[in-house]
Amino acid sequence: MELLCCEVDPVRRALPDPNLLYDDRVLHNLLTIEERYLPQCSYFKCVQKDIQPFMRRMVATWMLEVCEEQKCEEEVFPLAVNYLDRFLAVVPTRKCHLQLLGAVCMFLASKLKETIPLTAEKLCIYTDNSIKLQELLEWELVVLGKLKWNLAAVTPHDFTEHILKKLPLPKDKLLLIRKHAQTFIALCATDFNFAMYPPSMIATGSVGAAICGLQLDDGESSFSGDSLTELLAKITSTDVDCLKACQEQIESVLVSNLREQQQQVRQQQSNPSKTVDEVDQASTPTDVRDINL
Amino acid sequence: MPLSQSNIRQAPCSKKLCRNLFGPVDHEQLQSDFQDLMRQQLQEAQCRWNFDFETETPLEGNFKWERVWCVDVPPARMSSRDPLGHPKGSSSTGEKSASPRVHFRLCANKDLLDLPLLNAAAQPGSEVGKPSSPRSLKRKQTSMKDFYSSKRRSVPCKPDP
Repeated sequence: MELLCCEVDPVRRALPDPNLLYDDRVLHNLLTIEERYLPQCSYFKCVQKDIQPFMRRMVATWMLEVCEEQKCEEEVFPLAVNYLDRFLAVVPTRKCHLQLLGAVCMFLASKLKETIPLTAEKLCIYTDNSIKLQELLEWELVVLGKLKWNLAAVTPHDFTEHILKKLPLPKDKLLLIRKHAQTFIALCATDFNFAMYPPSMIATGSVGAAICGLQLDDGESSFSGDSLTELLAKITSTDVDCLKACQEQIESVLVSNLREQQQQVRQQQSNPSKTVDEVDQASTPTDVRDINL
Repeated sequence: MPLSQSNIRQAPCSKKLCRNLFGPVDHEQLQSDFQDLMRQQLQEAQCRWNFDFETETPLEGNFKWERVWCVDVPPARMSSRDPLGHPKGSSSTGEKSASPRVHFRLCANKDLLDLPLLNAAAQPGSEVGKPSSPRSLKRKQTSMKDFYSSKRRSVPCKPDP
């Protein structure tokens, strides 16, 4: 009898295409078009009346947790947040409809990027059935219209492979660096301060923060802090000072997230009646907990 | 046990994540906001294409529309929703109607346009087929036409399952 292992990743995926990853024209084109997909304005100042920055953070964190639990492709979450920001930059939205919007954006991003997308039913369940299936489908049309059906937005993930390939990194560390960089990218998407930054800068800063965090930058002379930043800045034609600032910002977001995390753990210890589940509602992406700076 | 697609994406929704973030949703308000936004989009599309998508009649403007009688459009490309997004059938997943219907065709730059594109009403953002700027099409990264033509090649006449 033949034995079948059912734990093989059942999702069919394409191999990395060297024609795309080893051609600088691709990177150049990405850099040229990325600005088109940024939100039109910093919408809390000029468009939204009912929605506050902390609400965006709440909905983005919830979206990240849903994407993690459903094991979505890495790009789904940042792409969904890109849709959310672009929509909020043009349509004044009520607080009580924000979660519906978040669900719609995940629905769309998942359909664009995944072989087996998230279902509408599942997304409704994740809102504790506070939205109806029909509403999700209707608002999908509204969001599509407001995004002008322009869904193939450039995300930081589009740049990570291009950047990593140009750095002299030890092969055995590459997987870990990539994973940490992806986590930083997700972290940036939960924070509105990064919403207006070009994806290439977020990608570059995230890779830089990942390398620094793993302390690969000391020892080798070619890789000491400043020269790393310069090299990174050159790859994506980013201003060195901007990049430094961005990387520092990423690191400080991480630190404040970790601190929140610790606080929640401490709260749990002092208040043992709370279940582990409640504490686990922490806003920190799970992977970040493994990172030490 | 065969490795079928039904095994996938079965990750259950954990209770702690199933939560309502911002209190009760005002469904009536939601519906009226939806209607407003769709009407607004329809209005924009109408101005842009000088075509009334609700009554499917051409209006005065830059484009010249020509009536075609068409029975050979693949059923999958037929819209099963009215312009405000309500499904016409009882099924909410959108059962496709296969009855022949009237189409209009843009006369200018016929070669740039596909019928299915015209049938997909509200796409004011698409630059395809703007008679005054056929060159702009080349510079576009993607166009709706690219999408539809490649789609049609891969699934010629089948309605969505």
